[in-house]
Amino acid sequence: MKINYASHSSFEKATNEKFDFIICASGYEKRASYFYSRFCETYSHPCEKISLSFKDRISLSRDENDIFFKDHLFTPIVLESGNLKELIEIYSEIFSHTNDDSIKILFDYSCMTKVMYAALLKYFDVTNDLFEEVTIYFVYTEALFSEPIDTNSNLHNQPLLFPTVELTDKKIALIVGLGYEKGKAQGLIEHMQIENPDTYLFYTSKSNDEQFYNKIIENNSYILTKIPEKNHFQYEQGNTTYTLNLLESLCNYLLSKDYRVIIAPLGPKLFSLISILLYIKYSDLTVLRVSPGIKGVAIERLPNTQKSPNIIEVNFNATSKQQI
Amino acid sequence: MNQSKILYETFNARHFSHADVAETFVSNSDFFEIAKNAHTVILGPRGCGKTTMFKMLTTPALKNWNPKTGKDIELKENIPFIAIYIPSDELWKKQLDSFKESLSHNPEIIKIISNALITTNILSNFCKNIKDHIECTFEKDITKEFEYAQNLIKEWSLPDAANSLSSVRQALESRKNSLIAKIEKAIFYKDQTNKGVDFHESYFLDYIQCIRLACISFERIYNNEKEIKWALCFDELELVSRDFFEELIKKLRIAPPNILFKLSSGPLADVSDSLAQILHDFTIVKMWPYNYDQEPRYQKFCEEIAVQRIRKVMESKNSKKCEDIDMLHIFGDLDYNLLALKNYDFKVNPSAKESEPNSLTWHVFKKLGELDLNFARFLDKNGINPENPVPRVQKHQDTIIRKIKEIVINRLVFMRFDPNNRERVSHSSQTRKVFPIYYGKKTLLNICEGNPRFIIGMLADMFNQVELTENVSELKITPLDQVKLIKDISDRFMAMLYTYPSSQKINNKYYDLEWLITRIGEYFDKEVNKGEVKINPANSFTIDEKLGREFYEILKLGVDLGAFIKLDQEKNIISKDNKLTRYRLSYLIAPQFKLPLRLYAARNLGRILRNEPITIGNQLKLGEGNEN
Repeated sequence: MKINYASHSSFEKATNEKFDFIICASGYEKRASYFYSRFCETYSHPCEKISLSFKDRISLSRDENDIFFKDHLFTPIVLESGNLKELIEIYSEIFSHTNDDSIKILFDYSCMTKVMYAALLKYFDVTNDLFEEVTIYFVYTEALFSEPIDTNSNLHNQPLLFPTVELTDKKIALIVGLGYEKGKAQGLIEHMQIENPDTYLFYTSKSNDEQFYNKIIENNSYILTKIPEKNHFQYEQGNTTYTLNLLESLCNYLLSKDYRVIIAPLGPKLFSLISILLYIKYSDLTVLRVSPGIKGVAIERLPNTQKSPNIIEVNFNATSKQQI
Repeated sequence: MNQSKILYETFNARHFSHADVAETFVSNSDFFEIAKNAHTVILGPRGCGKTTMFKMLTTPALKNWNPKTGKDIELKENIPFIAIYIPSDELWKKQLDSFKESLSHNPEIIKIISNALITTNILSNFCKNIKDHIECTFEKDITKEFEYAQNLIKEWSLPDAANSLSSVRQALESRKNSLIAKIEKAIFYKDQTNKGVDFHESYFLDYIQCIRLACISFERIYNNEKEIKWALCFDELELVSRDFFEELIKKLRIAPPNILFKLSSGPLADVSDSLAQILHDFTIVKMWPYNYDQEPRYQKFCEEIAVQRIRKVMESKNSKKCEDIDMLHIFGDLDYNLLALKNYDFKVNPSAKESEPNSLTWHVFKKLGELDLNFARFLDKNGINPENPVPRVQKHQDTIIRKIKEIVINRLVFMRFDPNNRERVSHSSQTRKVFPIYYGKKTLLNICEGNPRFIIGMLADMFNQVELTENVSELKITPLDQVKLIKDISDRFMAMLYTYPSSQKINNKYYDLEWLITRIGEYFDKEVNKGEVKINPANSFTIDEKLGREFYEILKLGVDLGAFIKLDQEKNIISKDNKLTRYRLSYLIAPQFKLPLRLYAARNLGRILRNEPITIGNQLKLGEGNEN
């Protein structure tokens, strides 16, 4: 199937949909169950509910979340959060039993690893014969600001999905979605040996979350000075369409200039999701997974209850040409 | 190259244009070795300039080079071969590794597709290089290019649509794309039997054979059938699989005599001992200070690069020629004595000779004896009174006082002593953020480890942070500005090292480069700055044959990246030699552990990593080793 469109959606619209599947993660953060706890207040359409929980890092609020999802009749599936092959098999198992040509899925990725939502998109990208149409509502609950912890060394620094391979006679351009951890983006740029003029920085604007913004600026001050200003792009988490268009235009431009293009989403999950959507559309992009993985320290994150969840609607169609 | 570009640059030569590489190129003896009409193996850590050297051998770079000396001019005019630059890089490595992992259930397909991808990549790079060479060397001749492209199509089994070298590259790109499609097919349809994945004849092409045929065609069409020497420059082989590296070495034996191989890799070439023997017949160029005798040579090289960069910036700022640039004048010289004077209010008698009462050395030794019980014990043990540390016999002046003075000042500068427990020491909070001993011309050149990328990066930062004067004679960088620069560059180097996914899982515990550097650095810190005082503390290590593969892989990565410096006694050692080789932490990492930039004694790594399962065969066996 191919992506037909991806667009910004809303909580209200989601509550009026009739979903066939609701999938959440029962992670170690308190916010893992926050969205569904609100959603179920107004949503009652019967559907298959699944909670994905990690084999590792059973700590912090994990037990509470397990109980919450059990109480709300979710079927638990325990998995390795970074095992792409296993995840695709799990998704295949979940969806291949349905008889409908057209399905709708609500997918709360707030507490999921990149691999978990990348695998879902890849599964539908390569699934040609089961469905006519698939619509996925990707839901994200922002967390309240908490200070970054010291950067751990990475367990993973590799292409996120099944890769393309690009010949080495082309230059490389690196697009970094900045996070607020000190040294992480800088280390990656030096690791990949990318020239500063070929590096592009995406980071959330001040209006989104001032504390987060200030920390990004503080902890990336060196590269923000070194990378030419024309390569800096700010985005608002609430304006998905704009961010998607901005990133897609840049990727298009760089591909047309015969670059090998890497996107490294180190910051907000929204940017990771957008990067993966573009990877699904442009097979010659590479999205990097840079993370300490299970070596990383589990940190409690509370939901920001003052903000509406960010929802992106992604539609796959068996016949359409990709548009996004 | 304008000033703003210098301000932004990180300088990785791979993707610099030939003109940019040539414009700032500084030749050295390594370059003349590499440019010889011989097979060559170039070893060195990341950033040491291997790529620059290779790129400088290519026709467009030589054409853009403005040689400075007679030797340079001679080389430019008489380069004995046409160089073909074939790079690898981190992205290529990650993509290949990732596809292999995805297809791990099907090793046969991995082998065939790997070979096809690697061959396609080499041919595409050949095509790019030969196109550049033709454009630099000959008048445009569409007929000849058409004929040449047609030959390549035939010899490389490409579809018959290409009529120029650009189209040949496009056809190779299409071949690569069809390979990727087959990878996806094999992954998602779990084609265990390879059924449905057709193996076109082009998948089995031998790249050396393809290149040989392309060379013969070129000689016929562009050189009246006269034979030409070619140099295939395979860069960054540390990033390719060991299989490919070994395959390449085997091909050296059967390559035609007019094709030379120039291979670059990390300091620990990853080849079996038997294949390493083949490489011993070739010219080996090591591009790092691999022993003490080499340090001055690399310092001079870095100094030349630094002077050239400073001149360029000053000239672009002032629009006037700037000839006399003196690094010593700009950066000064580290004076350990001054450090001691700065921190303590010693009443020094300037006319007192070294170690006489009230000399600076006497004050320093006396002070540390008061603060640090370990040092007082050391003096006692050597027959020197801690309260009046005058050597009783002259030989103590040479064998103890002078030898240990640097360590004594290091302790005084960096350590905080507990007045209630003179054995308890910790790093001084004042020096935690600033590293006061790391400034001065010699220190800066030492810290760069002969690595052009480090010195260029350091200067680029300096130009950004320091207000440049109009006149170069007034340009002085204060020690404080220098130590800040060093701290920043050291921190960024560490951040880069930690970005590598270097983890090895042993007994359910992860070990990685960060862990290894920290354990070794803390051990050396304890040897030099804390605990029992030693005239010759350990700040380097050896390995032995018992070191397990997982730990060796972490060490090797650290050596490739320049975190550990491999110190060989002999130039021809290209892989590991447990008896003669030792390793130290890069001087760029030394500030993280408050270590002086000097080589002292070595310990076996097993002893340093005591209580870790580092030995081969039995992973539960704990680290051990004898003092070396």
